[in-house]
Amino acid sequence: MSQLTVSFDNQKPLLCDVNLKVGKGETFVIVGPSGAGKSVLIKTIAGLVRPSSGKVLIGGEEIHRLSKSDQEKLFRRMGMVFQKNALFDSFTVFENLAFPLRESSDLSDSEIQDRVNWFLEAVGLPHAAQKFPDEISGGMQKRVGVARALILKPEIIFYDDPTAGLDPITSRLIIDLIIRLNKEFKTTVVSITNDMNRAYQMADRMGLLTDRELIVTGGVAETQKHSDRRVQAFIRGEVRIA
Amino acid sequence: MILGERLQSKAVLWPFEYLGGELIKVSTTLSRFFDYLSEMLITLMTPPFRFKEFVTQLYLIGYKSTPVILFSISFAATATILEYAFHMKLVIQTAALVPGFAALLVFRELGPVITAFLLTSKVGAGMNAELGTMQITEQVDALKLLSVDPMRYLVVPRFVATILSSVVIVIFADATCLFFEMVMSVRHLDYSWEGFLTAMNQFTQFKDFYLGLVKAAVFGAVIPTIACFYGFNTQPGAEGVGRSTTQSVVSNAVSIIIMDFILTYLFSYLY
Repeated sequence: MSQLTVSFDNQKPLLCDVNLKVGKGETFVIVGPSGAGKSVLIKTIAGLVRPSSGKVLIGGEEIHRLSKSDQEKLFRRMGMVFQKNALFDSFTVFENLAFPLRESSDLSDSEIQDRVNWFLEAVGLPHAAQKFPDEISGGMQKRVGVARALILKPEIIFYDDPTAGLDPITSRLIIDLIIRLNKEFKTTVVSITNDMNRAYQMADRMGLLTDRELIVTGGVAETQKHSDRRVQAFIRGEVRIA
Repeated sequence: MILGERLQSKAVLWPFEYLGGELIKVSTTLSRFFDYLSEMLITLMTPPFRFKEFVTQLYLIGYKSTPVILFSISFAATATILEYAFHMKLVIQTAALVPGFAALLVFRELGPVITAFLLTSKVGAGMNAELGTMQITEQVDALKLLSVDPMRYLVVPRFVATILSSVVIVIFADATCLFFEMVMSVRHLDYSWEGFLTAMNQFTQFKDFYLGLVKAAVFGAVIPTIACFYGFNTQPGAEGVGRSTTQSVVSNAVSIIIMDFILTYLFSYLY
C-alpha cells in the first residue's frame, strides 16, 4: 500500500500517508497504542474500509478500485480473524465453519464435513461442534474464528488483535495455533496487536502505528534496538503515545 | 473582542451553524440512502437469488407475524364499525350506510395501513436490531470477506419476503376485519349476515380490494428498505442499536403515512 490516508466524515485523518510492503509468506505485525487506528488500517488493507487517498495493491490488483464481482474473487484469496470474532450467532460452531465452504467451494457435503472436522480437531474443539457461539468461552470463540478464516485455505490472512480480551495463557496458545496453521498453509499474514510479547512471538517484521503514521521497525531484534524514541517508549510502556 | 461582542456574534451565528450542520447531516444521510437503494435494486435484479434465505424470511415475517396482526386488527375493525354506527345514527339518524363505508375503509385504509404499522413494529424493528447487531459485531464485514454480498444475503430476501408477506397478510386482515364487522353489525346494529353482505356489495368494488393490495406491496417494500438501511448504519454499543431501531421505526411510520397519502391521491384518479 502506498500513501494511504483514511479519514471519516471530513474529520482530521486517522491515518496519514501510510506506506507498507508485505512479501509473500511473510508475517507482518502492526503494534500500537489503543485508538491509534490499527483496526481501521487492517480493514483498509483488507478492502473493508475505503481510504480517502492512496492505494492498496494485493497481488497487483488495486482492491478498492475493483468491481464488486472482482472484489469478491479477491476476497476468496483472503481470510480475516476479527477482534470481536464475528461468528454468526444464529449458526452453530460447525455451521460457522461449513458456511464459507458452502458459499465459496464446490465441495460435496461429506467433503465439507471432513474438512470442518479436520479444522475442529486442529483448533482443539471437536466437542464444541454443535454449540452456538454464545455457549462457548472467548478463547474458544477466537479459535473458531481462526479456523473459519483458514478453512478456505487463503493466501493472505489478517488478524485483528487475535488475543484481545484473553488471558496470557490462552493468548499464547492462540498465537501458537496461529503460527502452526500459518506454517502449514504457507499464508501471508498481517496482524495487529498491542501486546509486544505476542508480536515478538509471531512477527517476521513489525511496525508501530502512532501519530497517524506507520513506523516500519524491521525484525524483532531491529525493533528492540530501534532509534525512534516513540518505538522505545511503546516497547517499555513508559508513556502514553497517542 | 470583548466578551459581550463575542456572545452577540455567537448568538447571531448559532442558528446558522445549527441549521447548516443539520442540513449537511440530512443531505449526507439521503445521499447514503440513495446509494444503498440503487445498490439494492441492482442486486435485486441480478442473479443469483438466495431462495433458501427468502423462504426462511417468508416464514419469519409472514407466518410468524400473521396471528398477532390478525388479532390486533380485529379490534381496530370492531372499534371502527362502532364509531361509524354511533356517528351515523347521530348525524343522519340511520345505520344503513355503515357496512358499506366500513368495508370501503377496510379495503382502502384499515387493512393495508394498520398491517403496515404492525409489520413496522414487529418485523421492521427486529430486522433493524438484527442487522445493527451484525454490523457492530463485524458479522457484516465477515460476510464480505467470505465473498458473500450482504445486500444479496441479508437485504434482498427480506425485501421480497416482506412485500409478499404484506400482501398475503392484508388479504387475511381484510377478511378478518369484515368478519368482525359483520359480527358487530349482526349483534349490535340489527343487520342480518346477508343484509351486511348486500350493503357491502353495493358500496365496494373489486378495485377497492386490489388497490389496497397495491398499497400493501408498497408498504411491504418500504419497511425492510428503511429497517435494513438504518441497520447497516448502526453505531457501536447498546445505545447505538437502540437509537438505530428508534430511527428506523419512526422513519418507517412517517414514510408509510406519506406513501399512503401519495397512493390515495393517485388512486383517486382511478375511481
